[in-house]
Amino acid sequence: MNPRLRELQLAFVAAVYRGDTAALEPLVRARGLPPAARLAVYRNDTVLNLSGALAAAYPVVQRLVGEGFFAFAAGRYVEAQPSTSGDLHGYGAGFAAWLEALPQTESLAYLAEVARLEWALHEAYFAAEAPPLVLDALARLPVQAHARLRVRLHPSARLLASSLPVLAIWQANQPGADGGGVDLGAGVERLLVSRLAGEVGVARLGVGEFALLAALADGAALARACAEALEAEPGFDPGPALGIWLARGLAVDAYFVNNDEED
Amino acid sequence: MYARTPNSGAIAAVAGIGLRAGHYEAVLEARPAPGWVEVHSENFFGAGGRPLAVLERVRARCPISLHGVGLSLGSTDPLDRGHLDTLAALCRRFEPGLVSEHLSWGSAGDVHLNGLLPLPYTEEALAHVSARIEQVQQTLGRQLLVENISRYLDWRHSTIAEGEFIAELVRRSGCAVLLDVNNLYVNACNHGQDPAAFFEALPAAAVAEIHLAGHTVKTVAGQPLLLDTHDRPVCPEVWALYREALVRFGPRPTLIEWDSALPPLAVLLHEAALADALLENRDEPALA
Repeated sequence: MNPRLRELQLAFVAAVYRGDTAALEPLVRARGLPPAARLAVYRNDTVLNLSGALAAAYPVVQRLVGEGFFAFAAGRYVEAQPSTSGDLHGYGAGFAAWLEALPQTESLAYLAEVARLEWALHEAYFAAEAPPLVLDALARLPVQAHARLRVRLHPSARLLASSLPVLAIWQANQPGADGGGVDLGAGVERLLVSRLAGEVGVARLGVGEFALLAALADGAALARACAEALEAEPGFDPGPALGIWLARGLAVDAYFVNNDEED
Repeated sequence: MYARTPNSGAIAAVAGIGLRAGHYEAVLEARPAPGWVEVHSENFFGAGGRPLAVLERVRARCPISLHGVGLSLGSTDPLDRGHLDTLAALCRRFEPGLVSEHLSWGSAGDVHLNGLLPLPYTEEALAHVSARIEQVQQTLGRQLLVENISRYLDWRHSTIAEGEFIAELVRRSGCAVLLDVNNLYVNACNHGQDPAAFFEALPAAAVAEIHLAGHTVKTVAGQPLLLDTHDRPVCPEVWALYREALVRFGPRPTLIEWDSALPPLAVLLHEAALADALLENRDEPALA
């Protein structure tokens, strides 16, 4: 009995991801090459293609662990988390968390952190365009309204905090860099990944600056965000940081929430 | 947002080149601009950023073709509306001269293989795929080109020859054909498929584009198997088959596809010049 197209496709997908094609072999014409070898071509293709998407998004992770281990880890990840879209650019979002749970990477605490930075950069590259907030409009608001103002950050903005010098590691492992000279004990890094003025970039933020932007990203009103920044870094002056990031186009919209309890 | 383009977007029967990220800058600087370029639709599915910005500038220089690798025309899962809507939005924004997909499937049960998988050529598959093509054409509001793929296996229960299968898709759905000569050659070597019979089966008027590419010969289980790798120049046998295709179908927009191990752009442009010479029925420059 010939299989229906639906059954054939479901069996094929399961077989390719599982690497067990025995059930499909009787359906394949041999013609000089065993069906198992023919099906293996598709399995290899799938693993290589999806691993290639991971390698494109995580080049520094690949450099840190070496091509051999990366291929092994990517192959395992492909089996554990099959693709769910015809557009491969979203594939690998869960790679950092998955790497973290892998027993072989237990001693490499920074690996998952670097992966998180690389995914933020990957997302920032493809994020939507958004013109900067027009500051003149803000200037016309009465000063007392500023406290209640909320802003929407550029769609590419990603805030990352790590207990490890993740940006230093990333920089030391760019093409042409020698990979050395990073002090793993250098302490906490607070980063902003964004694509402002067309270029994807990473900025190191101070304690107060990070708290301020993180609160704004969470939708806090300006007064609350400033209070959180001060709490994180006593004596922090939010004015200059706000001025710089607004001028760079980090905020793309400003709004008030109706019946706002927060003053 | 979208600057008015100086060209209508229509693609003439000249050679074009596949455009990958490694050549973005080079294509923008090339003088003259390529006859046309073809991109993988999904490479521009992001919401914004450099790829779309580059494509706008490329589109201002020359016509473009959108070539999909992920719509999964032959899948029995429902058509991915999000995927199709994104493609439709790209078509509205960039006014491509040609829009194509593969005669293949790539997903089942919402799990994707992100590859071009062979269909069994059966009445069931024929009815399914032609209905899907109609759905896509309706959403896009335009004719879709469907490409013959390289196959590494044939299903035992196939009952229809590939050429007849495609001809019937054309008849039922009104789609056009993207004839990939390299894929045909790969299948001739891998499965003993007869290229002449394939050409004969295709309705000449429906062939709207031709693909040329390089492949790799791999040894699998002690046997040669041709893999459609798009990583090297077009081989002499494929050029010969292309000449036959031009005799049978007449000059058609012809694409040099090169996806991995990208050489300098000049290498692709040289291959395109060879195709142009054949399209214009001139002596090839390399042989002159």
